[in-house]
Amino acid sequence: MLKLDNVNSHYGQIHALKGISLEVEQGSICCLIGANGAGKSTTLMAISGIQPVSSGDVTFEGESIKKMTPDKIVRKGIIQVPEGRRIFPYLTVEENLMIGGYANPDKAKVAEIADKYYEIFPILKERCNQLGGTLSGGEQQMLAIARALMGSPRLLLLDEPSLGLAPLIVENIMKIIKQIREEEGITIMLVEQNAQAALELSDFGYVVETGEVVLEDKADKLLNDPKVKEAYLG
Amino acid sequence: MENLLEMSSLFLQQLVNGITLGGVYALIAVGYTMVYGVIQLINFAHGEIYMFGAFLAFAMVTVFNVPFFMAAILSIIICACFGIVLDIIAYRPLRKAPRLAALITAIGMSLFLQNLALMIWGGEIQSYPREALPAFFYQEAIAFGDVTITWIQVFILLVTVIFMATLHFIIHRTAVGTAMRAISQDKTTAALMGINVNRVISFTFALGSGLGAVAGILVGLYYNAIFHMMGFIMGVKAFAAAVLGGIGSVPGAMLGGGLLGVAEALGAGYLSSAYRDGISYGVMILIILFKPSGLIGRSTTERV
Ligand SMILES: Nc1ncnc2c1ncn2[C@@H]1O[C@H](COP(=O)(O)OP(=O)(O)OP(=O)(O)O)[C@@H](O)[C@H]1O
Ligand SMILES: [Mg+2]
Repeated sequence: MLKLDNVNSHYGQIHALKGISLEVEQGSICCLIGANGAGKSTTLMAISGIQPVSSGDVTFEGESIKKMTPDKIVRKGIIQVPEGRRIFPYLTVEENLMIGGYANPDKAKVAEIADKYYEIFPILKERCNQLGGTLSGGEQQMLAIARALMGSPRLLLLDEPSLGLAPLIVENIMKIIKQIREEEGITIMLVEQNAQAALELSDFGYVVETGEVVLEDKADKLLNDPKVKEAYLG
Repeated sequence: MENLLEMSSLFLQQLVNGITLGGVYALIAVGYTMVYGVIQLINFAHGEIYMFGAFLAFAMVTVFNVPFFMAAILSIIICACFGIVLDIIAYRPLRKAPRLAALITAIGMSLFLQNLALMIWGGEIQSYPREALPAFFYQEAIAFGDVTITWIQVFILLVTVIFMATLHFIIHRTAVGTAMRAISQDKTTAALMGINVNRVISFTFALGSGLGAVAGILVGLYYNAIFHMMGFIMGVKAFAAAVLGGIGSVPGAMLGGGLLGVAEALGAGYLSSAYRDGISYGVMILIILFKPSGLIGRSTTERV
């Protein structure tokens, strides 16, 4: 479905991605794990068209998307939940959701999805007229996921959804991610520092270090890999 | 007793004049503030768009005999498009450049447009011939005691209120308005949600420039004086109003415009009309020194 082929990317002089190649299969959950500064977020931003790709190619369903603008990529069906959630602090919960549906031409569908996620996350319905910035971290993460789903993605990119959340809430979020794949058939690419949780959920995993993929395998294999165990699983 | 009446009628008259002027400031100030909200740029050429709004309507009325209201509408539309073009050719190429580069370009565009107007229309102050305008404009609408409100003042207030209400509706109740607010809070995330950021920025320029043209046309009528420097003078004051309310905040621009207009009129009435311009500059300096986020602006996050 999604393919990165030898992708390089720079922040000025900093060579952040050094020839990343990876593939996400339709219907799967694929994860990217790695330490701080490994280049995970940069990879997602390169896929979403925010971070320029200096060489290599990004293809989605056989079509190169590397030169497309971010909004066009969203319309192709790739939507990202960015690191740190990035809820619009001065928009209400409802407005945040509506922004998620901005590019979705099917407005009846947008309203339908909104209703559905209000049902799944009743707290969002309760808070629908409250400013996004006043929600708790866990609530914001739920809002961020629901917001992205408003655009009816076929591939959902999640950047560290467990960041800064209590273990119980992390468990809940992971369950929701699994549900999204199973019930909606949405393909998922998950970036995590919480390698244990991510690998348990995923079909396939990539380990990234300083801008390079150093290891790739089925998720259950990675879970038992001694190198992974030592470096990423406490 | 008589003295008291006289005093209060002077006050009321200046208040009326101030509110009229304040409405015009607010119309221009929202243009500065909305553009600042979405691209963090002080669009110094905004005053010149206001000036072109006044000139274009004037030229259509006087040269081509277009009826006034038709000329006004055309001028507003042309200026809205003009704002979009200004952004695309002057500012968009510099979106990722240091902010100073865009700021210098904005000053350059302002000077360029001033001189363009000077070339086209000359340096003389131009005035509408009375017969070109609807006759009722300069008649007295309401008078009580020594306080008079002319139709043109009523017209300005009415137009201002209608456009401000429409603007409020657009910003808070439409998809594109919500997108403007989203962009002013977090441009990257707005793009990640599928918003075509450049298109929304164009829309913002169109909106601000159209309102600027409205203000230009109104002021052209009010003072019946149209000249190539009018945008510079008015631009500084409207910018002061935007800063007073809190740059980036639309309600702030409305409040700042109103307050500044009233302060100026009262200052001119009670102190001396020589202080008129000084009041804006003084207010701006005080605000920058003591409350840079303005009366109702947010200091951390910009917003529309
Ligand atoms: N805006 C930026 N300007 C300059 N360098 C950057 C920028 N963003 C990231 N980098 C650098 O690029 C490299 C990759 O960063 P990235 O954010 O992709 O890492 P990450 O794997 O997501 O880390 P984390 O787990 O901490 O989120 C790092 O060395 C980082 O310092
Ligand atoms: Mg990251």
